[in-house]
Amino acid sequence: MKKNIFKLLSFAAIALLGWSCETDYYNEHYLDGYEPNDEITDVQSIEYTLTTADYAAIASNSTNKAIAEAAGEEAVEALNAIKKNGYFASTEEAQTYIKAFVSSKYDYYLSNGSSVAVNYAVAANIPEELQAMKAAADYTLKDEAYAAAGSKVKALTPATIDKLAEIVPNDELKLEAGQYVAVTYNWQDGEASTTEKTAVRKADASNYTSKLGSAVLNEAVSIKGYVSAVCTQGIIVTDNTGSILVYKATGFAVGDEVTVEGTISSYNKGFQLDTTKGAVCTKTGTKADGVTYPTPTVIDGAALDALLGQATDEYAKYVQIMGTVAVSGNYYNFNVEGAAKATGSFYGLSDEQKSQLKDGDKITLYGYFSSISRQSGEPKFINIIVTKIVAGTPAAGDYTSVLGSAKLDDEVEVKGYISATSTQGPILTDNGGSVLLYKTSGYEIGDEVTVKGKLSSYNKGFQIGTAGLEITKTGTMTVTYPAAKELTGADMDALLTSRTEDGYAEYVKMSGKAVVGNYINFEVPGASTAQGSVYGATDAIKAQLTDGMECTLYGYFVSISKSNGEPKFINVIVTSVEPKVVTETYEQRYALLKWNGSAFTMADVTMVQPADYAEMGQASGYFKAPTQETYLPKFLNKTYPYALAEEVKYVVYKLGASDWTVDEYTNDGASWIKNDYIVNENAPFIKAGGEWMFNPNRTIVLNPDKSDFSKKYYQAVIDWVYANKNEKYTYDNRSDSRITDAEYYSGCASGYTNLNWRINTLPKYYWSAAGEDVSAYEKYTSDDVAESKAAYEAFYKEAEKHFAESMAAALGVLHADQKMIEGVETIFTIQMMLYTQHIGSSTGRVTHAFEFKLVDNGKFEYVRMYALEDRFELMKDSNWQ
Amino acid sequence: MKKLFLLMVGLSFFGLTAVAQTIVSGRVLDENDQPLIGATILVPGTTQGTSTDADGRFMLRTGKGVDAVQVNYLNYKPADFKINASATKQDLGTIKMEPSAIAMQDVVITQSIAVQRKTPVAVATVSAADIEYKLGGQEFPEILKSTPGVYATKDGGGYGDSKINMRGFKSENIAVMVNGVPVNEMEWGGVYWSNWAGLSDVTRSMQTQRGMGASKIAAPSVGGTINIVTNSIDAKKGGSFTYGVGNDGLQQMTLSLSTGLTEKGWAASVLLGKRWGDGYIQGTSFEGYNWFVNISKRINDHHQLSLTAFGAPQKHNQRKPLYAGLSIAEWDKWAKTYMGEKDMYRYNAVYGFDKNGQERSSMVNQYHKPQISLNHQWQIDYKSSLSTALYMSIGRGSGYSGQGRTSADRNNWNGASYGKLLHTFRKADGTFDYGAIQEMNEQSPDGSRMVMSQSNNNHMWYGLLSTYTNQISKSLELSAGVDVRYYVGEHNNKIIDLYNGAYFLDDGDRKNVKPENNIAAADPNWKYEKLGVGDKVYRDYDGHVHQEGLFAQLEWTRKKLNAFVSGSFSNTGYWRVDRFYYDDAHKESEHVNFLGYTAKGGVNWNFTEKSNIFLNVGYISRAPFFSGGAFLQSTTSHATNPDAKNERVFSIEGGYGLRTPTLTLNLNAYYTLWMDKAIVRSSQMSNGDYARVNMTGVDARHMGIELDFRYKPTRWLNVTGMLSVGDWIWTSDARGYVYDSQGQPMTKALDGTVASGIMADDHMYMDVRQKDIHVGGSAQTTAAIGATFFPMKGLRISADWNAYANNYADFYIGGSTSLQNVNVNEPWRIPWGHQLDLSASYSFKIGKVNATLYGNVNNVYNYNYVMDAQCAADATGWQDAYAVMYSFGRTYTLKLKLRF
Repeated sequence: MKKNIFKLLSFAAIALLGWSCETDYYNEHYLDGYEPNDEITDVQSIEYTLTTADYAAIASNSTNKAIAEAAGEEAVEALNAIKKNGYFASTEEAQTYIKAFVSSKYDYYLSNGSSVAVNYAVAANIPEELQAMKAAADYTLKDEAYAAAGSKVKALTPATIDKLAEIVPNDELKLEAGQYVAVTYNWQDGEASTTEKTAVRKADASNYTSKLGSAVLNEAVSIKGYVSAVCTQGIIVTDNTGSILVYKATGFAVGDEVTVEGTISSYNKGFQLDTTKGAVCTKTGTKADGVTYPTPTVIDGAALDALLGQATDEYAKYVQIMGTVAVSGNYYNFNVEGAAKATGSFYGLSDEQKSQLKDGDKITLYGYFSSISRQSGEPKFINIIVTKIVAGTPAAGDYTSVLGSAKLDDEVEVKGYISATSTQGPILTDNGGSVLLYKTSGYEIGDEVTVKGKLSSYNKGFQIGTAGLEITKTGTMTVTYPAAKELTGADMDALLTSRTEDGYAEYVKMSGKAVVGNYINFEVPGASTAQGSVYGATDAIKAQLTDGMECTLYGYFVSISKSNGEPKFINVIVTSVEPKVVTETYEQRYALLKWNGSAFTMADVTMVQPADYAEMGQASGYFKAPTQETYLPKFLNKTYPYALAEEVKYVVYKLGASDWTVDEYTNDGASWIKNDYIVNENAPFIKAGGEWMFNPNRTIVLNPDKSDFSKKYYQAVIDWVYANKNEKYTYDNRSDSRITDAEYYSGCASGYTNLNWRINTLPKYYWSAAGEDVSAYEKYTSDDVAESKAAYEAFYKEAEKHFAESMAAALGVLHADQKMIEGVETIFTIQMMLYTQHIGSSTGRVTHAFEFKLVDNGKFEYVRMYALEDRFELMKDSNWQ
Repeated sequence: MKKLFLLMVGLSFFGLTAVAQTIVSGRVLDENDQPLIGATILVPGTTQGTSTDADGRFMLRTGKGVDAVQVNYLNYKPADFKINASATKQDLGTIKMEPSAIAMQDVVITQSIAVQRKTPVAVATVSAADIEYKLGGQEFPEILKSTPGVYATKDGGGYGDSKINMRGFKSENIAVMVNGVPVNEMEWGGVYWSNWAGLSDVTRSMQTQRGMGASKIAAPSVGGTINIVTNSIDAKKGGSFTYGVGNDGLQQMTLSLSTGLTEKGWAASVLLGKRWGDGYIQGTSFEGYNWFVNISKRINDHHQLSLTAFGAPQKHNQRKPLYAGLSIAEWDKWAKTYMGEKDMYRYNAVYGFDKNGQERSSMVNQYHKPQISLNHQWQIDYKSSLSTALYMSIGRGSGYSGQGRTSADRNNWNGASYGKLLHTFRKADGTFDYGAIQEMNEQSPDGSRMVMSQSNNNHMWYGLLSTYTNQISKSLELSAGVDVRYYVGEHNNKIIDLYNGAYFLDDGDRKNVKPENNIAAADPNWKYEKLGVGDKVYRDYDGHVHQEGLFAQLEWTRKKLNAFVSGSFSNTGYWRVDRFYYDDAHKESEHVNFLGYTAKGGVNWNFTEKSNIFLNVGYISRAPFFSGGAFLQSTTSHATNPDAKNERVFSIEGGYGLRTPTLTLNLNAYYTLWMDKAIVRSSQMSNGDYARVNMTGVDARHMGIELDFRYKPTRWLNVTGMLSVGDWIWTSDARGYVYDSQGQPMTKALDGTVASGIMADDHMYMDVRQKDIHVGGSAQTTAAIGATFFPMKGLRISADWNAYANNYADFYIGGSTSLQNVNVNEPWRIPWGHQLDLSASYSFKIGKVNATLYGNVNNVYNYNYVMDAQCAADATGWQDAYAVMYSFGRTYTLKLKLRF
């Protein structure tokens, strides 16, 4: 025991050899001159151009808001306008508000002495009329207003459009004379019908998003759509491109228009938006035209099994399944014949729905397949959120498949059901096909029957006559019709000649106009000879058809009758009539109106209409800056193909969902040029004493980093030298080519972004070639220190002179807009890396500063140069020791 | 998870009842009366066992009723001993092992492993048990930190991002071999340790040979050699399961199963592991897997086949020193502001979020490099054998590489530039604002300004290594063989994220494509092609490398004397196939070939039973690498370096060794000259041609002394220590003359003007003035002292203290395209740093299952010191240092291993 204690003590002793340390201990202890809380300086000179987002940031900056509020309501409006316009109204305004922006963006890391030169746009001279248009109010015409214009519908029509200016109520808008309003109104292209019709606004569909079906897992989405199914676990929301389960969203009904914000998650192989995990679903309205479902995918047993193998997460799919309800306690499932493994499951069935289902019911259900649940770890349940349950299924196994294959004169024995009735007899259907039971009567649709008879033919159609017919009713069922084959006019014409053999009855549909006389015929557009004939119309069918009625007929095409010896009538035993739904479509339009003090007048402007946005690919129905700059000139070209030069147009458009604005464009003979009245200006701010202030003096640091910023200055000098000086300064005799990224008059090299003042290069190869006398610099290699020094000194003096001249000129080009300010001296300091024999090229930092004074608007004059550190002094003694 | 942890703690108390019955001791010697280190002593039919120490001694506490033990050593016949089961102590005395006539233990290509007191090189070996005991949450190479001459750091701190230097030489001068197969990258010679981060789980032993080492094949063993030997046929039947947790959400799980050797001669073992966590450094979460399969078949007494495959796929977020490391002042200002003083050095400048609040990083690395080798051992007769390894390595992976329209846009992906934190895309809380990039791109009318690309670096590597060994006489042994390799590296950058922009224009890179090389560039619109996700930018090329080598060694052994001479000769060939800067007609570059050779010799004399001395001398002439050697701009151009030179290394080294029952000590001194280090620069001239400089005479001298010892005064205490003192300096100023692609001397105008003569007055040159400047990037003085206590059965506790000094900031003089003179200042000498690590393990039984609980605390005192820094050539002190990386603070791990 003693020994163990000793061991542990020795261990502890070794452990204590170390010492506890503060994070800064090391730095403070070992780094000479280290001050832990010493403010380190980060002095930078930055040139920054405001982006669209920056104007918005300036407008919403709290400091600026306070400034504006203190200045009054007009200033607040002006500040808000900066966001919309993307420019300032005046230079003063810019200098007032940019300061806070610079402070918020740079204050936390730039130190005193830093400068930020902000490039911004000012539109100071905008004509008053244009300004008034830009400030246009926004108004949507109310539904009641259209009647006042004499319109019978809730829209303006070609006959009533002229009344627009009269029906906009200024007592509501309260505009003053000279002010504008942008009006949104409904438009119907054609005069109104007198009958009551369903009104559908075209805009509705385009308001829905097109996100579902393509958004990926973990993508944050904002959906606008409608509720297409509800269950106790949530709702199915559908937009233009897909459907998704919004989990645990409650209190919604089918047909509600909703927005859903959330992140796409997955559960049991189905995508969902989960309200328990932050998704938010909000009702915004009701779908005006009700919910129509897409054509469902029919899932049979094999397909149900196949779904279990689904490997990836999927969106909800609309399906149709036939099966048998299996109730076990509170669980409601359904079995599908032919499915070996998979079981259908009603997902989130309401108690009411449950009460309508009994174990063993045969049903056809429609709904959204949304996920796959497991049993004992294996995928098993196909979860369906139902939209519709139809009782009864054709129990396919019970019927024969005789029809469709039996031949003429065959004695047949059929077990099937009655699928249509007519005064000429019913249609008998089994699993193989359908046939007319000619002149048989007394049966209803849905009667299950066994039939023994002989297959005969009449007018190219098979039928079973009454001769020798044995028919017995065995039960009843619910008929589900197969997908109807559409017969167009052309199809019908073709049938007249192509039908050379007898055929079985076929389920079809035809759209056209009923001709009701002794017979009921049916005209289908596009048919030149053929006509439909409602064969043996029952009273119920007759009651639904009126002469001239436009509708779609569904029924069994049984035979072709002749007229004047030529095939003409396509005989159909009709099962249902679907009247044509006439929808009246309004679209939205915009107009700009001006209040003159007593009345509105239509402004002479070019409005970008909703359809135009769609055509320009702006599905949102508005422009998002700066896309309008690209599209509007093209839009004008298209709208005014014969515009002449100097024609001026005002284009009014939406910038963002709710902001109206207007731009003035002039045609230059070929294209449209925006008159933005905008001038680009520059406001330099410097930080001193912790505060940012407007200061025209600028320090421009040209780091030798080959950055675009540095290159810009070097290149300006090179270009100036090329344009104004002897070409030998930028010309290489040996390669017989012009040097484009350097000039050897003053030594600016944009490739390296440094200033090359090497005595062995500039005079020897370039200055002499340009005719300068370089003899004063030749003895730089002399062993006589005084001689060598004199050569260097003379060379540096000359190089400085050259540089002073060229850089002053280059600054004049780059800062042509720089304005003289009364009573303020403006100095531009350019800091650069100087590369000489003694300094070398490896410093990698700026070594010297050159000062230039602004002497007139955009004109500079050289002042002086100095080294930024002692070691960079050009003529320091140590260079010659 | 918490429950499991509690269970582990609970279990550790159950084990206290295990009691030993008999203590068996002895000493194992070879046929020359030399101690055999690492011989295993086993109780047959159980897993009880131990191994011999440096002096060949062992002590085994056996369980109840044990009446026999077996001693095993590679290439020796097993020796069985009866013991008296009722005795409490039994000394077996000196056990002399007989060599097995036909050594058939294992098909590991062991040719490169050095043997103490026989191979005349400086060597240190870390056993699997020590790795398991001390690794904890450290990076794999850090396990070597207490061995002399080694400096291992975490580099940026991401998972697998570690760095190891030996004797001051960097990765490309350290040969790394796994089971005798070289794994240094064929194109640039270095090793990415993240490829091998999971290898620690299957390592049986890890040996460092400092200096030229014992490797016979042509390998870049200038600084040293790291030999990693993985598990194989000798794994016993059974398996193990390990689960561990650590700081910052670290979790690890390992399962291994082994059949042992079946009666029909089959053996198979499988290991699967996973390690994941959030990372100590902010935003460096990682997920690493590790798999290992070995199937061996002993066909007959003469043939044995073994198939080994392993890989360690991983994905981790990084903090690259150069692009996210700060200067000291910036750490102090920004990291402290954002993270608080306590956690300031965890700050990661590229950690941030996008518009949707999802975490993003511009530095993500993922790699998987399975290595598969089929080894065949043919014992031809009792004198000769042939062992052959046919291997392939399949590298698949990438690192993120932010692209931009301009160089400024590209740089904006970085967190820092030369130590200065970049603020362009930074939120006030210090996180990188990836959302602002998305917004900028959304607003941009001409596509994304900045996009993220994956810099893919895939490779296929095939190799054959075959060694024939013949015992010519009792004292003379010849080994000779061939070493053939072929490697294709596929390199491209693929856009993976447009960052909400509509498309990306790669005009910045495509403008550099010359129509005469790629006809596509003749169309001025080509460079403005709108690119999307999956499209390639910047580069798309394959590097082809092949190497054919021959090697031979003669080894002469007399009782106390052992000497060897060895040599190798190899040809290395390179070419590249480019699909970006070149079209189909020009895609293949010229093929270039280089010859290299090595010559080594050494002698070891065991002049007493306790002492030995050795001396070795060697010379390496190494072929230039693909990048920066054979090709001037290997990523973008076919331009070859017409006068690429071999780098040459001369090294001499001597040492002394002492073995007593209580003390083992090694002392050695080395002197290495590294000559003609390649510095190749090229730059485009105004006439469009390339000017290039081939520096010669860039020499460095690395010399130093190294000491390590192990002192075991009593059974319950073991003290180890190490001291290495290096003196590594650049010894020459170098001058390189500038030539054009035709080999014509150029003037300073750099416009194609030919100078009046080679080395004439007007012939341009560049100087690198760095004579007497210290070599940076690695601590020249390192020391370690550690003590391990065995206070009671099954328990062991260790404290290890490591110190690093004379570490100079790293500076680069190669690489840049500027042809200007470089005056190098003495780099900043980083102050010394040190840390204390604690380890403990406790072994116990749960029923029949052996369990061990391990605990590690690294840097107990949470002491942050600078481990790595970089500086420019003209830097003057700590103020100028950038990419300053501080050590991790305190970290810990706890794990339980069950063996069954």
